[in-house]
Amino acid sequence: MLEIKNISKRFGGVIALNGCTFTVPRNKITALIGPNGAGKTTLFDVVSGLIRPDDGQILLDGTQFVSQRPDAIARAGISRTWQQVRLFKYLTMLDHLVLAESNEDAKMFANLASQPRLKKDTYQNIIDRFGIDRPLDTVVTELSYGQRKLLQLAMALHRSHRLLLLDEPVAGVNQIIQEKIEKLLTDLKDKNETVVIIEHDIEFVRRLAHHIVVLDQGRVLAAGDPNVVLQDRRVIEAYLGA
Amino acid sequence: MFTPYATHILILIGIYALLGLSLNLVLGFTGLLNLGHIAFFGIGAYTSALLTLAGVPFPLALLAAGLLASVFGFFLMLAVRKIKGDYLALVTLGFSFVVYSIFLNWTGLTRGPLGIPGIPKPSLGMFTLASNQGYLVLVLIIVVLTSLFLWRLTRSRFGRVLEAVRDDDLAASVLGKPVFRLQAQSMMLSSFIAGIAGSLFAHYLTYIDPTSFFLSEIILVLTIVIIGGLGSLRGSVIAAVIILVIPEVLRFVGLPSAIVGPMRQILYAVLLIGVLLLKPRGLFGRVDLT
Amino acid sequence: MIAFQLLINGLIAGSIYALIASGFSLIYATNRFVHFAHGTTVTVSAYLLFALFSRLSLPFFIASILTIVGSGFLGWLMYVALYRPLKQRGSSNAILLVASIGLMILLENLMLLIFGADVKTLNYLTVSKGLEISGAVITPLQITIIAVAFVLLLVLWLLTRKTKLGITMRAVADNEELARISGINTDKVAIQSFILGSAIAGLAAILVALEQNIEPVMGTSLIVKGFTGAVIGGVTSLPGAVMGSYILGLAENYGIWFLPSGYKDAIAFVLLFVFLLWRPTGLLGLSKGTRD
Repeated sequence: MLEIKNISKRFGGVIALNGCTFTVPRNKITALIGPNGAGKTTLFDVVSGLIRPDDGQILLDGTQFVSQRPDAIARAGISRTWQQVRLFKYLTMLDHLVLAESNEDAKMFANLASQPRLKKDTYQNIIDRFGIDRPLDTVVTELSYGQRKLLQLAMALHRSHRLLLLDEPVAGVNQIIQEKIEKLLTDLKDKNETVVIIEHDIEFVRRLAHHIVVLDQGRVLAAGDPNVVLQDRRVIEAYLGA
Repeated sequence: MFTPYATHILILIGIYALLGLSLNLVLGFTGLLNLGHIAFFGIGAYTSALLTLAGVPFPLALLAAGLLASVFGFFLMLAVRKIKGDYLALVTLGFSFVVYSIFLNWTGLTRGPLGIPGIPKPSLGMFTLASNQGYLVLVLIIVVLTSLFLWRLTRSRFGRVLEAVRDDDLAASVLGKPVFRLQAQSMMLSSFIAGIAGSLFAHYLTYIDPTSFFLSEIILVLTIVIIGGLGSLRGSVIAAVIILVIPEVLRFVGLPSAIVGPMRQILYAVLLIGVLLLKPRGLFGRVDLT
Repeated sequence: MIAFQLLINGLIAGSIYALIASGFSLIYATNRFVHFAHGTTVTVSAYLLFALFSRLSLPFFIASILTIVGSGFLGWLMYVALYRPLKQRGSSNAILLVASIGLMILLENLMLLIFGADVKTLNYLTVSKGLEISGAVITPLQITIIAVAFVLLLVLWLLTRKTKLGITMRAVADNEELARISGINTDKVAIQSFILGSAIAGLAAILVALEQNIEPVMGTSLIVKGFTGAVIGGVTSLPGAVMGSYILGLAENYGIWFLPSGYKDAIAFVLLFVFLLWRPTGLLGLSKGTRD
């Protein structure tokens, strides 16, 4: 569904991505793994349009979109989360869910004319389902790190999307929240969603992913079935060597 | 009803409230430190003055003032679309210098340092707004309409999107929000209002020259916004009242007029620095200045 | 020959701008924010000189030394009373810029209040006849200005390259985090940069006061020109700031060959705007933090 073809990017003297090529299969959970500095987050940045690659192509269902702006790419159906949670520090949880709901809110004149009724029940259900035990009108800076991660995930899922890019969804959270998130991701798997996850926890990946892509020094080292790939000697060496 | 003196002060408060509200829209709600805001004020003033002197009816000139300022607002936003932080502040400041310089040097159009005297009072057909009381009514109507408009806008979902752009424009774009378009709309609306304020200024004073649209003026407007507080519309209005009334106290103390001018500027500067040091969110600010 | 006269005028203007730009650049490179009030340091110093020399009748030399000391002190005061407290509460560079503009307005109007709006002259040099060199006229004072600029900039260059003070300053300018971790007292270095940069402004004030007379708004024009020169050459680079200042001085003077003379300032403003937009790193292309 998502084809990464020969993507390269360098920052000054540092080569972040070096002819990176792989395909993300539809309706499957793909894990993107690799040692630190392998280029995983940079790749996400390129796919979501925040960084322009020096070379290469990206095709979503056959449509080229490397040169598009990040908001256009997002509207094309790509939802993304960040390893370090990025939320809007003066806004409430309710505000965030409304922002994720649709892009009708970006129309100035339409919103001056009329405002739709706020679907507070829907949003309450969402935060209940994600287990965030705070009122909707809480400003997000008052949430714990784990709650913010859950909110970020909730937003990414609530948006209409075709592809999810999740950057280390369980990094830095406690055991309880990690289990919560894993359950939510397993739900995605049951619903046949197309997801790419960057993760370091190998067992987590083994349980969850249908497909693994291993990145090292900006290029794909191996890709395929988790059990096969994780036995691959080159992969083991890359991790040990890092 | 009001004494002539009170009327005069209220008119100025109204004009500066418009400037404060519009700068707050772009700075407090959208996160753009536009130090060139005063240039739009000037563009509106000169446009309205020149058009009415050429025979254009006041309502059209007023509208044209806002629209032309808005067009410049768009081009400024286009120029700074990839710029942030203090660098953005510098470029917009540079823009205001360039505009000031045009007012000063394009003497064929603006009469340069001599300024434009004899700007006509607003008139529509047979009816001319000659009295200050009447002018106050005009200013108040515009301030109220603008305030209501901005209040409705900033309370709506659209207002939230602007604030999201302010807080983290990258995260906003990744949610699908068209960041540049939103910033441009905000800037254009802001400069439109500033242009209208410029027109009101020109037709009230009936004389304008480039010095009203330079550095010390942007500090005044910025002080109003910061003291009122970023992200608070009522803060900007209340701060405009405070900022314009306090120096008048100097007049009552009986200081000679040669002193009042610089004292007023010193007061504004001290207030600005004081607020930045001691109470950076100002009176009603919901957001920190960055 | 006009072209040569314009060259001379350009060099004179460039020298003045270079003196301003070098102090400014020193402060900017070390502290990483735009200290717009630097021009006002020149204004206050010029008035200080006036007060010491014309009002208190001190000998010119003594008054000059005291002025330079005074301007260094003013720099220290501005850092300690305004910028440092703001930085300590985590203010961004944008806030520091706004504060510096506020400071500029404050000091300018203080001068206006104390000394009045009329232009002051220092009656130190009797009106001297200009010397003629190859068809261009230049006064001894103007030669002095160019010479002083040259010598000062050379001294400054040696200072930043060869002395411990200079090298430490450049280390902080290059990478503040790293410098602090290496044990450098960055606050002390910041203070030193403000004192030194402002003292240079004091020296510039003496020359400008002699050449152009004194009025409260003189600082605004000078800092805009100095800042423009620094941006043209490369704001964090001392040689760049100097080179950019001479380019500006020459551009202004050759520019008014074609345009009405009122456009002199406009040339600076337009160049500033253009360079900030299209080549913010300056001609020497040294960046670090202008586009943040």
